Amino acid sequence: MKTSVKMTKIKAIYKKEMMDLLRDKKTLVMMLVVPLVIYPLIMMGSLLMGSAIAGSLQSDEYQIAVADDKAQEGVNGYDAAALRALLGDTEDSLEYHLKLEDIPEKSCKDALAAEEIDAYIVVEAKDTEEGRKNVFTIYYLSSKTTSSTAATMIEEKLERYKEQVSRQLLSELGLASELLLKPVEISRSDSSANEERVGSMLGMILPFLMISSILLGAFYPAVDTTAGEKERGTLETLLTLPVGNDELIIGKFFAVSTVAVASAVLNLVSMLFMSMYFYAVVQTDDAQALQVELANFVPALLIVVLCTVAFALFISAVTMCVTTFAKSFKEANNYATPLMLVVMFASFVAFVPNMEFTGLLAAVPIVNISLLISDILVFEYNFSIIMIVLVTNMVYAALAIVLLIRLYNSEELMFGEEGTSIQIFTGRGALKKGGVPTLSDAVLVLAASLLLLLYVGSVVQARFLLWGLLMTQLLIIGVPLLASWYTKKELRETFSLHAPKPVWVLGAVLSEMGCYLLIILLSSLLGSLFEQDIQAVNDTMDYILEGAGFVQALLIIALAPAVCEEALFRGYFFSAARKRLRPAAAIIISGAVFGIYHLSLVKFFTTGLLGVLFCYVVYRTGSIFLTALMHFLNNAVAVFVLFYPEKMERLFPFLFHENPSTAEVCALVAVGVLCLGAGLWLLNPKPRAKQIN
Amino acid sequence: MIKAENLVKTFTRTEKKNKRTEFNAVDGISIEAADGEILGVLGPNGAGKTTLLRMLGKLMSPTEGKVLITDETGRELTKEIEIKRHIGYLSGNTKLYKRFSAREMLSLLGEIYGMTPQEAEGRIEEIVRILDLGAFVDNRIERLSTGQSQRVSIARCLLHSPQVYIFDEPTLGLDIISSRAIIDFMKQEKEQGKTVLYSTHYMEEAEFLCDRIVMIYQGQVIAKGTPEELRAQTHTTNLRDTFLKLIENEAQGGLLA
Repeated sequence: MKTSVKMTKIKAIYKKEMMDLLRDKKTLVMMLVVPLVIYPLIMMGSLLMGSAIAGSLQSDEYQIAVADDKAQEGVNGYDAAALRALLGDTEDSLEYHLKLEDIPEKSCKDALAAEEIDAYIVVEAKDTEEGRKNVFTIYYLSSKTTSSTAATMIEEKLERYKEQVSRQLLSELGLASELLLKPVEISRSDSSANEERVGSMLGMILPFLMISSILLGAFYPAVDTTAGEKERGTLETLLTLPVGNDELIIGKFFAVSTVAVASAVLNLVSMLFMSMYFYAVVQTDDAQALQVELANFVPALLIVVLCTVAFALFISAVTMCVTTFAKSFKEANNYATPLMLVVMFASFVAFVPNMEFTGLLAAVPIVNISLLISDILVFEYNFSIIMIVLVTNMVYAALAIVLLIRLYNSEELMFGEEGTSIQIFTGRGALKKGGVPTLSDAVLVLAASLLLLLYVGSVVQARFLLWGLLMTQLLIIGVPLLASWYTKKELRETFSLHAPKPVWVLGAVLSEMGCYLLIILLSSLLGSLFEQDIQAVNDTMDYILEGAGFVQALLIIALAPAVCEEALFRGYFFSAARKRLRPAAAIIISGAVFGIYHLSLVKFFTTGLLGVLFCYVVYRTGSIFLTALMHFLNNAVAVFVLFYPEKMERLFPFLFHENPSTAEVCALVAVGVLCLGAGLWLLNPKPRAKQIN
Repeated sequence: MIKAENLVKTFTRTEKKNKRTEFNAVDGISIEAADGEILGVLGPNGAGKTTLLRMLGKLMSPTEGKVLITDETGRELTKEIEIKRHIGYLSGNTKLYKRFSAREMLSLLGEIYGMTPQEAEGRIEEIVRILDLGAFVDNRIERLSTGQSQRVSIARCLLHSPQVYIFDEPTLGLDIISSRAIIDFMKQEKEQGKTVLYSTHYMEEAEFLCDRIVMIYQGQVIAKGTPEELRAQTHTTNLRDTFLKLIENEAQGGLLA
């Protein structure tokens, strides 16, 4: 009886939310317009553009010139007239042709710069190790498509010319030319089934598209039913109703996931339709291209739909959790940005080639769906893994709902005072001086830093290696500094710049040592689980460190993060979190954020733990200098190990044992815990009270 | 009947240097309103009126103390959901669902209150008659005027025929005609034996309407009684002066202590 009453209420709430949502333009736009209008437009657009480009290329004739004043007729068979004839030849099967312009050698360069010609060839006689030779150089502008194409075509022609000359020289020597020119025939033949090929292509893109579209589909309804209700002032009305939080949340949750699933299915259908259309177009173009039996995709698609539903439930619950913290649409957007980044980043896993999809990964949210979809499309059905993915997604969704119900019990969240929490977008003149950043600002700064790290950091690191790392660090400190300057924050409080007591320094060093030991053990434990990941991390490090000196590495790998990362994570972000959240929540969230920032599954746990410790130290002592020291020590040990492995092994043999005995592990854990405990005990902030009296 | 026993609500406030200090927004308030009575809750801004009314309406749970409510038969209600079913709560923060028409919203809410669609429909017809909503009941709420939507808000409170009404500044920002409609409504409900708890900043309104008044300042009751009693106590001729005098006394007393 009681459950049926509950069900009636949930149904009533669901009905109200659905009606409310379907009258919201934003939700409708996200749900309908994106799959039904935007996708087709993008597809059509790219098709049209593709054919336009192809068309323009076909109609073109390329102007080129030959400068062979310095060439030597006859040397290795050079024949200026034959070359010109070949270049200007239009009768062969090439779709484009070249037009030879008669330009004196001196003005070729200027003609190219003025785009009067698309490319030119310089032929010069040069003395090489093999004797005197005519050397061909193609001059072109890589920035111009036509010029590049012309250069490619010249290259093709010159290949033929080369073959022609070789043939001629060989025949002069009286040798059978064909066998010498092509002693070996090479050709490629792909034995994947066509369905697998199409599937693997789809499998790369589809997970990302699916996950993004579900996220977008869930996002607006999630905001509308949580933050939106607060913004419109109807939340209190809702709370006067005789329904429990559980019924309320479940009703809302089902409404949000209905929209998310509907939008996901619409997206899927739209994408399928588009690919079929695309396929049909390609088919007419190139008859032998792909013969795909669409019926073979049906079971795969059914499983994809099932997973999509499970994932939509999960993502709806998580998004609602995040947006519940916001008081308005604008704020919710800011909170959701990092969530979107994480989700999209995780869904990129499918692009990683040959990723092994194991049982453990099947339990990692988002990653599992991404990998599952891409595996299913190459027809790798593993039902136990499919089950794990489905069940874990349901479990995570349920956990998120439980959390959400608890959040709705929090009066602070429900009745929290209105106030401008995003100061970064407020005019600077309107801001009051002092204080620490708001949590919204901190989340925004963090998201900006993460974006810079992903897009700018990865590029400069690949380009400038160690110096790139330094630049990344400067970006990481730059964003919070800029933000605190703009919002006129008190730097001392924002970055916890309080001098430590001498005894705290000892405490910091001790606790860092203890933590380091524990983390070493943890990472060797994790190492056996994520071997590939560890290898990847080490390879990147080796690559970046190539050619760098010890001092340089120490400064950039140990000192720079000790300053810059501390400023962002233990300074700006933690101060904001501590102001708004309970201490435990602030410490754990800041720690986790620090873990996520390292963008690696193994490092998430180890650096996350370190982050938690650092935050705790700042929380107890209010001094960022301590954690900067700890961070420096932590990274410095790693640099020492990289540069002087033998010495370090002699000094600390226990850190290097491949397979430590149980006794050894226990001893290390004991020492670690002891050091950590003693260190934290020394960080006791109490005696200050006396000074005040 | 609704009764509050020694209610305390503690909030934490974050001040400079991240120090969290606790303060009592409501600091040990006991009040009681009988059936057929309108009890006015008066006090300056920040006195704790809204927090008190939220606790009485079970929107917030008290840090200490408890709330007792009896239904029309005198039975004491204990479960939160049961209590909410017998309360009609209206404040400046209980806005309406703008994307619906009044009729749609009322019938959706009716379902949440556990009515069948037929029951809800019948009740809505009744309310439309009582509150004279006929002209705009099918318009989307976002297109209604302030006065019209306030009447729809009252319809929302009336929908489930509660025993107790809690109205937090219901006439704020309304013109005389709209206020008049609300005041008349409260009087009618009182005459039918309902309990009305009501806070306002309009002293004339309170003087005219309330059977009894509690005066709240800094989370505590500083005076209570009928309007006449309060006036006599402070030797004033109208409630506005009574109010000012009481607050003044309290502020000075606070300084001396």
